[in-house]
Amino acid sequence: MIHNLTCADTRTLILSLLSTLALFSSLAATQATDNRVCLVVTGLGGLPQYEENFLNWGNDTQTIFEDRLGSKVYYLDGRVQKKADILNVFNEISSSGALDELWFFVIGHASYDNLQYKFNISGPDLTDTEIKDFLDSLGDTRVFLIAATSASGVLTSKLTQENRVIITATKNQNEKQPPLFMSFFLEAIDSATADIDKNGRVSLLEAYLFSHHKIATWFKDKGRIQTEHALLEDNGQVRLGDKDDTLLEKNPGIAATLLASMAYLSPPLGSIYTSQHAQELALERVRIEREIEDLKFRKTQLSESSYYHLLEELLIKLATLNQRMKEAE
Amino acid sequence: MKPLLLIFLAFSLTPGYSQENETDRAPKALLTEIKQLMHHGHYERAQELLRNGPRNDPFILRLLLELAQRQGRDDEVNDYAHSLLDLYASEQLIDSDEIVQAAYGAWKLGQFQNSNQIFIAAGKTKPTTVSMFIDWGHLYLTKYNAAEAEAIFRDAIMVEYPSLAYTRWDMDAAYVGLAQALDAQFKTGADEALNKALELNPENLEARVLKAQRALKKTRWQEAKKWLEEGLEINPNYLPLLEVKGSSQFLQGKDSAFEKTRSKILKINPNNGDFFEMLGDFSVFQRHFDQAIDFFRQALKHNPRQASARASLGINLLRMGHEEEGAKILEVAYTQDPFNIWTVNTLRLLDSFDHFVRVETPNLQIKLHESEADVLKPYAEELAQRSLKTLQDKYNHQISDKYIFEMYPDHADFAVRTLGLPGLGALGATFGRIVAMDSPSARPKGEFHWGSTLWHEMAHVVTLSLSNDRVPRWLTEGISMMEERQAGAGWGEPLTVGFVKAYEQNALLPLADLNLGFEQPKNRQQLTLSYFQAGWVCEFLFRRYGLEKIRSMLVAFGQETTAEKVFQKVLQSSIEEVDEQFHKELSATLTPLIKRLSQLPSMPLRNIPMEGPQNTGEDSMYNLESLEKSWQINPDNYFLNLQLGSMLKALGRPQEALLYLETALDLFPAHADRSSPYALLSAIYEELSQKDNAIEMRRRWWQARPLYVENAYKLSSLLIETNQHQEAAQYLEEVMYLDPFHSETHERLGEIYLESGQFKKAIREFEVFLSLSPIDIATAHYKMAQAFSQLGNVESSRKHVLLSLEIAPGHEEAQELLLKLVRK
Repeated sequence: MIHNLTCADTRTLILSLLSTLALFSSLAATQATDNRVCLVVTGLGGLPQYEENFLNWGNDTQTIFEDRLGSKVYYLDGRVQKKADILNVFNEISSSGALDELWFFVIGHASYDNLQYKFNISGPDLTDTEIKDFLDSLGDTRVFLIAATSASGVLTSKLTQENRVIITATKNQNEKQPPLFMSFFLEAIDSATADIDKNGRVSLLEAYLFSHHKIATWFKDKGRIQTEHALLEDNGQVRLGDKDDTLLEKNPGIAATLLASMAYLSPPLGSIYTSQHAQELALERVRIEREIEDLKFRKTQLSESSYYHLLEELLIKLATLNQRMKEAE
Repeated sequence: MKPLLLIFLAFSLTPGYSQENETDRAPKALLTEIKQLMHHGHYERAQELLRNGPRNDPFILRLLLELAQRQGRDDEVNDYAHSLLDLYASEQLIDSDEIVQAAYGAWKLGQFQNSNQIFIAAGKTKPTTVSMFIDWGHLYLTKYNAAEAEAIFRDAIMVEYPSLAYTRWDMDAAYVGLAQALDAQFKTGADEALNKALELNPENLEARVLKAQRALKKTRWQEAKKWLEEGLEINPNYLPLLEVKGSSQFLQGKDSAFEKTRSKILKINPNNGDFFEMLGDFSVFQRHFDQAIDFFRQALKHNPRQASARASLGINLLRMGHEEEGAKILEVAYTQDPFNIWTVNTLRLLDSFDHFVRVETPNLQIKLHESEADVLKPYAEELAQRSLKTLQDKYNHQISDKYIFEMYPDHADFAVRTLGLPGLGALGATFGRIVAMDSPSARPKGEFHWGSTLWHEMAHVVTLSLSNDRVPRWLTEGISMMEERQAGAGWGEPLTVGFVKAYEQNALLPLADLNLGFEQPKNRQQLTLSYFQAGWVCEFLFRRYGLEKIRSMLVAFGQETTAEKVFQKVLQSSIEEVDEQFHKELSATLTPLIKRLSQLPSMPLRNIPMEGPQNTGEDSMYNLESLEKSWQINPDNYFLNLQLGSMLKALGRPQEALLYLETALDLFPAHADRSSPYALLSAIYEELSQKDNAIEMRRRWWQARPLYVENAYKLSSLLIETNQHQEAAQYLEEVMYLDPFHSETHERLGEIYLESGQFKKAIREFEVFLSLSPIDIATAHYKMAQAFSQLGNVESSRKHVLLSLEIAPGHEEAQELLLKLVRK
């Protein structure tokens, strides 16, 4: 687990991630139609207001993945479906053949007894071991786990590994209040504000950052002590959300390399270029965009004036290119 | 033999001590006689008898020590103290009261922890005496722990009394100690304890000292004089009495008498720093800080070991803005006395100053905590400068010195800056050259209008300066309250039901005594009432006599010593005459309200719901019926109308509720909190989709009480919905005086300003927005770039458009702006 990257770590990561950047760029563009499954499990509410929240959030997630993203969705209601039912679905998914992506939402109450994370459902609880076994059984499938439960922070250390993004609503097992995380996460999907890079779509990273910010603001506005601090573990290499976390601020280039930044919660924009010229320009644009991301990686190694001078040059090229593309169409 | 040899060595150091009778204890009769001689000021005779007393008697040594101390013979004090400790070390002090003398010796040597340990040992040796507790309690009082001292003095009072053996103190001293501890904590009961002490011992001097001091603080000169004369008749050389006498003469401006007393004090004890420290303390009490500094310096000149005077010097230098010298002096004071909590707290506060950002203006150095400086600076700087200029112009007085204006995000720091201790209930304070107040972070949202408080404090700056710091508290507070109310619609404190009730119950202080409501309030309620009353008195003076007369009063207070003289000179009336006029006007305003605000037996105040009644079932119907019956008899009762309106609203009968709530609003429009008719009517109009009425009601609510951010947000949203963007911006601007940390307000304001061509304001808002670490940084930078571009500032525009595109390279509008800027 990597908490804070050193310079050497950063360089290694840059090299490895840059090499995969092109791959993921194309992946992001095509993900809507690929082999993706979404699994949503909501747990016991305990109190009516929690139960209502968990169900609403679960239903909304199902709608987004089914209706907007065209994904196959398994929705399990932990009030009715017991552990055996959930394990059956785990089994069904893992045995269904090669899967590109699994989006796994766990919404509800959970606890940690110093041995195991336990997600509260009717009958015996679902444990972290069972979740881990399930994820491990998926092989190369990219996994995006959103654990919107109390005590979920403990999952980051247990489940983190390459090709996985683990988002937890709390920073550790000691945050035991029912989290609000999912409410803001769903709000992010349709929010222009959450679209930080203004590419017209909200990525998983952007949704996480939006929710993280909104939660802090919510507690501050209410004058309450913040009882939940969301975490994100990406690809077994980068961790966001720890106290005084300034990784993205100090290394703006890293954001674009995270798996979470390439996984979107809305379908791709329909920019299909008809003319040959426009298609060539589009390829050129991808190249410039990569150069910009590369420059952002090197920001800390350059003087401020050199960096912004180079950045301006590239941005002017990009802007000019975009204008030409519009004209070409 | 070894112990005996040690004893001999110890006493061989004691000056002027006979080596005869070295193993004897002095008889009780002799000790009592010496104590009486000292009590009556016959110090020479006492000294003679003491020198002939047995050399190893701890009580003789103790009295010798006290005598040397009274006469400023510090070396002898140390020698006697050491001798007492040697006796203790050689286990010659057997019973509790003997051991206490060693504790006293350790205390006088500055070994406070050791002294406390010896007191503990004395406490474990039974039987204990009242005298032990009294000395012990005084150790705690000296070391700034009045609460613990109080407990010890209360223990003293419980001791079985009288003791058969000689004791230094009797039960009367326990009551004096208790009074001192209560007085130090501003608690009630000190006078009663002093009366008890005097009942037990009509000749008690310390009780008279405290009685006189307390009278002086209330400027009751005659009462103080009585206590002093009585005491000095018993002991004309008793320094604490002479010190209070000298202070009284100084405070009354009796210069020649003061010089005489000063000479007498220094003749008795040429090293007396206490007198000057007392003068310094009284000067601080009167907020004459320069004068206080001068006295504390004199105290240290006479007694450089007086750590308390050094600490006070340091703290008051800080109050006058001399940070560097104050800090240095406090460092020394700390090494001399690390127990002084005022020193420790102030040094800690000084350390925290590294985290404050300083902003210089012509008249102010503004200090804001680094964590909130980016957000507060634009608004605090603007308002501080505007208020100071407005008030200086209004009172035709330019302040000459630069003031330090500080905003504290931690209320405890503000309290330490103000009093040296946490626990202050106020929101702001002006003293010396310092204006300190809570920042909005220090208070719960929706309870603190920091703009109003700032204005209040700036009014103090002007009134204190205009009166050479001699304006009485009621007048400076009253003017500040008045100025707050004139600074903005709804600013300051509105009329409350509590004030009307206090008027009805005749609980307001006469104008001549109004200062006591600030300086010696009986309780918190009296302090609150006094603020409000003082404000209304000033508004009355403003209406009746005009601002120029108020200004003249301030000038006159800088020259005259009594309020009576000032009233006669400026208003040609006595205080009582002015008070009578004020009360006539007050009566005309408040008498009609008394009936409207009366509580009916069937409708206690506590039944008024905050957000409408919770119970809307059968019980409510029953209540509704009974309320309607009451209303038939009392249709002009405010609470009945409010309760009926609120109940009908909750029952889903808004049209009927409107009638009662509108009536309630007419009957007492000053009530504007979250359970007021304003709030309920706004909600009803919104329920009924009467947008214009809702806007108007929310406007009126805001103008009556601009304290509730939710009202401003709702009002501005309604105004934006109806395309009244500029007015919406006005309310959002005012929200900055309540909650400047809400990022969305800045974003919305920035957008309104950008759209309406107010580009500088737009930049200010987006700058603050960005300092709050928002999510959508790219858009904010782009909008700043737009505003800079509109102002023709290509360089800044280019910088911000780059910052926007760095985060969002695909941001099309930013790309277009970049190309436009490049082409320029």
